[in-house]
Amino acid sequence: MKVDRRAPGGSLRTGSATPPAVSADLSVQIGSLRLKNPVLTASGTFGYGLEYGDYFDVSLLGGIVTKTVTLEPREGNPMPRIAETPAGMLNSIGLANVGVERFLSEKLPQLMGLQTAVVVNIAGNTARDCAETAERVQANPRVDAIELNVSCPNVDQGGLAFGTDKNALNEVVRGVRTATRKPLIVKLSPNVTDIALMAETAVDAGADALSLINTLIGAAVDIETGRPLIGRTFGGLSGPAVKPVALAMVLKVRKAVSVPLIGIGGISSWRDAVEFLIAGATAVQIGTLNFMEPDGAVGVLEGIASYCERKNISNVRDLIGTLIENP
Amino acid sequence: MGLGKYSCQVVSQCEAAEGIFLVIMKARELARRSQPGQFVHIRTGCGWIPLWRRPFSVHGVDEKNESIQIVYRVVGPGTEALSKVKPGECLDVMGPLGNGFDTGKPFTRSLLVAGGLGSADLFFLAGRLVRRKKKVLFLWGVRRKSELFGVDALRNAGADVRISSEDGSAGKEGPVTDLLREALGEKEWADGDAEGFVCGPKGMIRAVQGIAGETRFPWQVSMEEKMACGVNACKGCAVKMKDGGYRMACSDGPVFDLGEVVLEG
Repeated sequence: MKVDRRAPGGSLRTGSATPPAVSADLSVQIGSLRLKNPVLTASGTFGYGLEYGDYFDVSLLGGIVTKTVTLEPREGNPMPRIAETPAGMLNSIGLANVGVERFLSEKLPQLMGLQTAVVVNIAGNTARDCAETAERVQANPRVDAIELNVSCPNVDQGGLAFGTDKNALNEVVRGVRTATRKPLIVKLSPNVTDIALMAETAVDAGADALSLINTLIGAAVDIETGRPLIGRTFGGLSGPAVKPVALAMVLKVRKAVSVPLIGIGGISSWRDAVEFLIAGATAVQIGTLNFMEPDGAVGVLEGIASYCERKNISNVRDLIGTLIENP
Repeated sequence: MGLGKYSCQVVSQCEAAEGIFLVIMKARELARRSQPGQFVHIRTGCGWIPLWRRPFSVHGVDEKNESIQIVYRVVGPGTEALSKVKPGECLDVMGPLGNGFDTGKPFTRSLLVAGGLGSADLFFLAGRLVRRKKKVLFLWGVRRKSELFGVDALRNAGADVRISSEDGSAGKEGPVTDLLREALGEKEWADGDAEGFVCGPKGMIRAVQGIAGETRFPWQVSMEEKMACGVNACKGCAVKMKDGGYRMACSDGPVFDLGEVVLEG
């Protein structure tokens, strides 16, 4: 697959890997949503899909997942909101966003020209908020799927409370399911005792697919000042450090449910992405890597294509879930 | 305006002052397009420790030689890695990012107040202001004399430079705000035909904010925050505003109206 990663009218770019010559079929299916390839960008790391347009052609990706949208605008959490940790980072942004109304009127129209799937990530304080947001978002034809965030560790209401309680999860997913017929992806939290149980609950309540994992609760301390490095003390850990945890959770959930999974968590190279595919993820989302390499997601895509070529895999779907475990 | 990501060859790296390094890198586009107050976002090492890029103010541009300069102090793993980069090696640089200082207003005199390495972007600004035929008074506070660099070049460029140091080893002993109060006592700053610019540690900016409120001219501040993406995607580099909301240092700033920011910490 020849990939020209330049954004239209873009400036000099470097570091582009040599694109593979032969193209494997990289398309995958998430419920009724067909993605031209399995690489998406993760919510909260890619803005509203516009911020990286100067660095590469976003239309190359299988899809983008927007920053979480809530019913009302949110200013977000006090500072400091981010901290660097070994091979990772903590964030406590607090779902800062412009609210569903401005999202629909100002942000979404700017995505009309993109030749890629647009997945809108939504969250809310209550199940009813989530359903209402879903209802308003899904009416827009540019929205290809909804990802329900039940796993944000950085808000007082909703967020993690939905993703760690079976009954609450059931209620919020059912509400959103009723509000939309578009593909519904539920983004799971790793901050639970048994993620497979949560996966089953979400699927029983109507999820078409699951994405996992959201960030792990973490903290860090400034030993000079004796204060936490995150304003709200706790943040969500992401980045290369969490990848093995994410991979283990994909494997656990794979055994529990049959809906498509989207692997997220510390994917920092095409090799990481291929691991997730072998483990049973139908697609992957690139998150923290975007901060280090603004065109990192397209590098992952190129790498997957090259890998398929080298392994004589003509269809990436033949790779998914092929992990060979000891009997 | 299209932004870029460039591989920039390091021309030189030297210790400009005690513990302060100056890097000159080849960067044709960045030299042409960078404005004072804007920054570049650099991967200072390879691998995932440190994880993030690091933002650096553009310290100067040399359009003839197609290069830009940054200055920094080694404060952590990012700058530690950068300090080991040798001439000939390439850095992965995004930029120019952010909104720089507004120098297009019709003021005659400019008052620049730098605390420590807050001078990093004010040097670039001073040069541009002189080029725009503005009068430049540059007040620079450091802890001690050994932290000073480039003062002669700044003076030769046409700026009136006054120094203060905490230990009295250079210029006037005391904080830079003493210099500021002294300067504001001179009658040329009494009217509104001026603009103030400030960059430095938060405590120093807070002190300047208090004094600036008494002047009759507007002030701009360049804010420094921890930053991950640099392009308004992660919403990490929040700056609190007096209206109760937040703005992002990377994309709304890093330059803000001094009167509008809340300085905490």
